[in-house]
Amino acid sequence: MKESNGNKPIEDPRHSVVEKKLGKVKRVIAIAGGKGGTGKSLVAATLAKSLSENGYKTGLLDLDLTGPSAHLILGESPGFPEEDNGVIPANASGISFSSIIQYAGDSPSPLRGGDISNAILEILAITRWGSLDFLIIDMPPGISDAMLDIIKLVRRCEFVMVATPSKVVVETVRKNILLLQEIGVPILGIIENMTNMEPLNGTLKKSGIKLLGKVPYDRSIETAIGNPSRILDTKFGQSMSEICSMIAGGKEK
Amino acid sequence: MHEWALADGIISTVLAFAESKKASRVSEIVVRVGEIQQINTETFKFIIEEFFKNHERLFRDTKLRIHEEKCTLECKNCGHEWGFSSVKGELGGDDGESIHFIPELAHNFMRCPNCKGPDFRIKEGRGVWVERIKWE
Repeated sequence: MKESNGNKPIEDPRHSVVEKKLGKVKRVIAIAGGKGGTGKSLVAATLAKSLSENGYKTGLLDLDLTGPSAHLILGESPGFPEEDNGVIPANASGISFSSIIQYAGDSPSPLRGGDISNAILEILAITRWGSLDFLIIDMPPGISDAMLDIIKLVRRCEFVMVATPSKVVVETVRKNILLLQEIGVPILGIIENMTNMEPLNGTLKKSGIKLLGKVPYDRSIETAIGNPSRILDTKFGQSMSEICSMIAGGKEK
Repeated sequence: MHEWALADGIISTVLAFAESKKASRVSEIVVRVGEIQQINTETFKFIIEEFFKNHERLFRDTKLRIHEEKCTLECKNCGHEWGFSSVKGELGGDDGESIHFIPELAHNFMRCPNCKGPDFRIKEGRGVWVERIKWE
């Protein structure tokens, strides 16, 4: 008879089930970028809607735990998830959807980094996504806890970077790309959002990352927030549909 | 119940451990459950034992012990410490349910009893983990 050292946990059991919970998801794509306000959530939710409209089984996970907004873009306020050997994502406009708002409602979530990591791990360990062609992750800005956790926990995750032509954004996205390249994380490309501003300077082009598309600043987008079908009809939505085809291109449904 | 997902994690952890040790039988497992998870230990024991049935040789006559660890919270603002049990009764039903799913949501629904601040940490009694395994 042998016995383990009981003074410390053998392993956090959540780690062993994250990959299992994502086992039937063909591709996981994180929508990220260095700065807030560049349109990551709008890109993530619209990409998910566009993929869904094109017949792909699609999920959307809002991992911006302290500033969730994907539900506002989808116009959905799902409550507690259904439980069945784990928790089942909500159905939001045909998209399998999970967000902290299902548990927190509209209350603020004042979480420090360690709490964010713990909550992300918990969500990934208990959510049963089932069979999906795509799981889109709406990431919070920056390269801190959420990004490091996703890189560690979902090793096959691909990234799409969202930038605007602002110098302030370009510099932070450049660092973000530098980090992902250093550790060998796949980057599908950059989406240049709000291109009515100054054109994206050469800094990001030097990274060698593909430009997935330029998305114009669209004044009508604000009135379409909350109605994903209307978002797809805007200029923003049309640009995103083209980007959707590039991302999904060649992949079997 | 999402306890099935947590039990799946426990079993996966034990299976990986048993494989790494080339164990032919696991004779005892001690699982610790943090109080803030608000998990019924009897129900949790039943669920884990249901998973045993998928691996009858490895888990024949395995003793499963589940213990609860009391939850204490510590305020990062004033240093005050308190027990989850002392404030649990003040939580609304849905608030307690939210914390049951994601314990970090204590920050949404609880405040430091001393300074009323939201900046505290769960010092002990969070999570579900395998504390000890005996094997042959």
